[in-house]
Amino acid sequence: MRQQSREYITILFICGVLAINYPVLDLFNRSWAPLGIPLLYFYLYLAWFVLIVVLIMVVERSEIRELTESHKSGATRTKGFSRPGGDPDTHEPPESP
Amino acid sequence: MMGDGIIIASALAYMGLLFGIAYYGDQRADAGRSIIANPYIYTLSLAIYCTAWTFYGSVGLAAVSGVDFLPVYLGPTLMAVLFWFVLRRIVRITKVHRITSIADFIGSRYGKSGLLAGMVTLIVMLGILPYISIQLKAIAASFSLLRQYPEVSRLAISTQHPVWMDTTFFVALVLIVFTILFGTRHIDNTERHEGMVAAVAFESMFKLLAFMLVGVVVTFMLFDGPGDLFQHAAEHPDLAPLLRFEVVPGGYGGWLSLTFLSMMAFLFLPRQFQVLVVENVNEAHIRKAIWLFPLYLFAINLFVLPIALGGRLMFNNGDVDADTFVLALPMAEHMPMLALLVFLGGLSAAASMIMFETVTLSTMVCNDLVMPILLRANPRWLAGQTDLSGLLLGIRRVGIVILILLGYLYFRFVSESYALVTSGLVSFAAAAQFAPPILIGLFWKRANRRGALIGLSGGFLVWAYTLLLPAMARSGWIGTDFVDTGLLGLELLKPYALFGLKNLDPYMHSVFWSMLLNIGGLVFGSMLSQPDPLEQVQGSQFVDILKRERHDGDSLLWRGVVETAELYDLLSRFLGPQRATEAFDRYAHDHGGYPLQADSRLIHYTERLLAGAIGAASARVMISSIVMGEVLSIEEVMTILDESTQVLEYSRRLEQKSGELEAASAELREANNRLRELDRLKDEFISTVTHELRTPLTSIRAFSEILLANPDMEVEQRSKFLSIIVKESERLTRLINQVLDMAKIDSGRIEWHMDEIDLRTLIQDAINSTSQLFCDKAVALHEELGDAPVIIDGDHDRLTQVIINLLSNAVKFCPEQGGKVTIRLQPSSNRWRIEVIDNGPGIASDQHKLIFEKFHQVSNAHAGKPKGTGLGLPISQRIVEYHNGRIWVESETGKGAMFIVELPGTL
Amino acid sequence: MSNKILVVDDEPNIVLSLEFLMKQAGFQVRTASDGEAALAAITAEPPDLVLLDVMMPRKNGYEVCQAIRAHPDWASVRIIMLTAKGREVEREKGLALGADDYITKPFSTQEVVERVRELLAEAG
Repeated sequence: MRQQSREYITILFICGVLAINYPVLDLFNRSWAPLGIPLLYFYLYLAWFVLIVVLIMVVERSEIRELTESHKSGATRTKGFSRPGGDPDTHEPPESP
Repeated sequence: MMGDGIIIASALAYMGLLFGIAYYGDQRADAGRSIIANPYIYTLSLAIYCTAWTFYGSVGLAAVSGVDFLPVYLGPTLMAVLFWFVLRRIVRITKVHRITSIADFIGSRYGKSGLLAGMVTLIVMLGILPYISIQLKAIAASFSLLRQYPEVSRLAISTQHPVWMDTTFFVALVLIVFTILFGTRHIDNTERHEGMVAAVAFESMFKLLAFMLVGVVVTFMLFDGPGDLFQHAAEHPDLAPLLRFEVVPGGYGGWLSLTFLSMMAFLFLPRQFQVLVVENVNEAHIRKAIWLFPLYLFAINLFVLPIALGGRLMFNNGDVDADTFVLALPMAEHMPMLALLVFLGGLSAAASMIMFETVTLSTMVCNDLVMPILLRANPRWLAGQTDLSGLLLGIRRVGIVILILLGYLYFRFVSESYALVTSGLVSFAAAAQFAPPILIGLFWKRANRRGALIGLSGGFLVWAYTLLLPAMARSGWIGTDFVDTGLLGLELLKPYALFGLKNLDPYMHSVFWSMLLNIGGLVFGSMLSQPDPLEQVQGSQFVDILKRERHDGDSLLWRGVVETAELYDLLSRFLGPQRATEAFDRYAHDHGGYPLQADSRLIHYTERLLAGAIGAASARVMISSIVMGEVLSIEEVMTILDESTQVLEYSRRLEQKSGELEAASAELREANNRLRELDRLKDEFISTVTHELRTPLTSIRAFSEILLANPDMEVEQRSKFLSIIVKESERLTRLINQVLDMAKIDSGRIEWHMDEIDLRTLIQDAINSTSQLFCDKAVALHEELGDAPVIIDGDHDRLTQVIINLLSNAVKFCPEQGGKVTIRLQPSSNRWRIEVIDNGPGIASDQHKLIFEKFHQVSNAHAGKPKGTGLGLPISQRIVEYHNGRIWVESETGKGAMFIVELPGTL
Repeated sequence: MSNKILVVDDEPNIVLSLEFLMKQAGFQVRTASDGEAALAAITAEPPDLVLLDVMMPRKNGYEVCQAIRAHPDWASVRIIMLTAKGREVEREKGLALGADDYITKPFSTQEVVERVRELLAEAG
């Protein structure tokens, strides 16, 4: 997973925590029912679902990107065993001092 | 009326099906063709999180507190977002270190502490009982309800009946049998249960379908879709508040704490840890589960509120327990097949939780509690057993029986009066106690055993005091006085308002205090104490787990982790601080500084420097002793039962080895110096011997050539030259003999013939054989040998050689005229003393020691060069010393010399 | 006029043989049995050539060689070192200290005479 995906995930987590807690949650604590569904439930389930969809996008897209990248560079590393971005472990064998 | 037979038969058939799946899964796993090795099965197996609590309890809770049921699923969703950061680390560590349970994990992290692992096991045992009890309760309640079909009514279960008529008890017994069948068929060294995972995946699908089916029926058949349902609810005065947040007990704070609790419980309940971590076959599966598992939770929760509201609307009189709405609604609508399906869904949700939880827990009890105690109590007996698997299985089976029965007892005496969710939360709060030691331990190296022990025990005590004991008290199990007035009547110690903290719901209150103590204890305990080396090793291995990446090529020899300072220390032990500093400075100069945490390049650099000093192989051994990498095969060590001592022993041995190597290299250097010195001496010796040999040879050759070139030489001169040749030849022979003697004595190859000898006759013989010398130089010999024989132990020939040598030396140094030699034999305290005295030029005192060295000759201006070989005295000295005697000279220049030999012997 | 040779060795038999050889070759020969005696003889009358042993009591051959070379009046004195130590270093040391030639014991009588003659011829 690339550095960018890690950032997305961190942001997603923070947004998720904020979205389902006070005070954001209180904004939706009303007696209004869009499509006949009480707003509180509507909001919570919608937020939940959106979170999952974004999660799919971040995770699956990063997988595709990683696959193509490893294909391009001819890297020998196994798919799925990704490493932290910027990890300099592909540098050349140590040269003589 | 639905017959008991049908219900029981279908229940058993369903369990049989699960068992078949499990059996098949195990077979496939043994054959190496796993059926669970895909991300979908992995995700479904995680749904073991959704127990009877979810299946029945969510609806029950939603029917009373509205949206309050949701945090329990929102928490895990948020945790799933963090899987890639948290779970992947834990999985990687678990695989690398061959960890088998959550107790094992915490114990390993903190220096392989058996104490900590045992403590975790105990906490889990106590904490999980309420959870098990609600599963039993759910099965029994659903069974009791279903057998009334089609009648639906609130039923009071169990307490009125004695144990042997209690349905729940029999449910417990059946579960015990199935659990033992499922979970303890054989011992697996990785503690993985592929078959059970496959069964769990199946029942997860089953319970989801059953629940959603009920939801669809209620929403679309009982009502005209969700709009209609909510419309009805909104119009009902009792139900309208359920659609707003105000019904949630504890408000937003309670909501937040519940979210937090379930986030932690989702990871750290023992069975969750088992399916998430231990049973994970491939790290890559986590990626899919990140979003697939939240989707499952989303789906199973979609119809919770519709069913709850539907139930409230249908059973308006409150006759039916809200916890059973899921089952009661199909029954009320006369849908027996659906009701049976729901019953089976609930049964499998509850049963799979109990089975997985107790199998996991019994493994922990066995490995982290019973075996260590057995090992300590009776190690000899245990060591004598060749196959312990029977014993292990026995312990685990007994553990399963005890755990399920305890769960039953808790149900019967404590949780009976509670709703499902309420009891379950007590367990969640217990599992959350493992969050600080694991999560902080994953990212903070300094976290150590003492801190973990303090934190965990503090958190546990607070949990027990603020949640477990009050629950027991409310059930009349223990007195309620301390709940109402505080322990010892102290207001500050009220379990629901500790230190006066009021206005929080009991869970948030407990979470706050227990986490405060747990985290605080861990952090401050760690900062105020020093970890031992093993804790440091484990700490850095756990924290740096992702840095140890795998490479297919062998371009990087060292994948391990080591502090640069450690490398420096190692290097300076072999190269000396100065050279080590120079080397590191050079590295810093070439590479623009060096990291605190040495990278593979620096390690390799150091290795090569070391290799220059002690050889490549030793250098690798040395480096591997401090680098925590693949080289130190941790797996091999882990397989041994008492692992911590093994690891300690291993590192201690490496440490020792390093010391030995260092000592050996110092010894080697010294030996080398000694050899070089010996070599120099040998060289000197050979050079001297050569010189001594060449000298007579020179005369012999010169005169021979002269004689050859002058055949008509005068007879007188010719015979003079010829006699010189003869004398020099004799000198050469003597020299060669003595050099050989010397070499023999020095190398210890000389043969000694020790016997009883008479010193007096020996001296007499020596005098006789040198009499010619005395005659030639006209030296007078004076003998003082006494009358009685002097018997000592010695080598006759060698001692004779010594006396002859001394006598001929004496003659040699005597003046041309009036030469006089005295030889004397006399006792001196415990020894015999032989003196040889001449009246020659004497020997300067600075020469007294030197004359006993090889080829050292005393030069004398007056006497000219004496015709010695320079080996007589050194040989004599060695012979005398062999007899434990002493030889030395007493003399002054111009006053003659006295050589003294002292030999041990009784008078 | 025949050349003057000084034979220096602490081994009387070797001195005897060299004295015989040099006299037979037509040189005037004097002898000395140690370093100091040698220097005394040179001071008394500088010879044309010195046959000089290395290992001697009371000033060894090297010291004598150095002393001769340090003296400006004795610059024309030829020196042949004689030694029973056959190592290359010794030879180099002797030559470095100003010896003109170097002969290892045991020597060939013919060779000694030839070398002495050569050196004296060179000196003219």
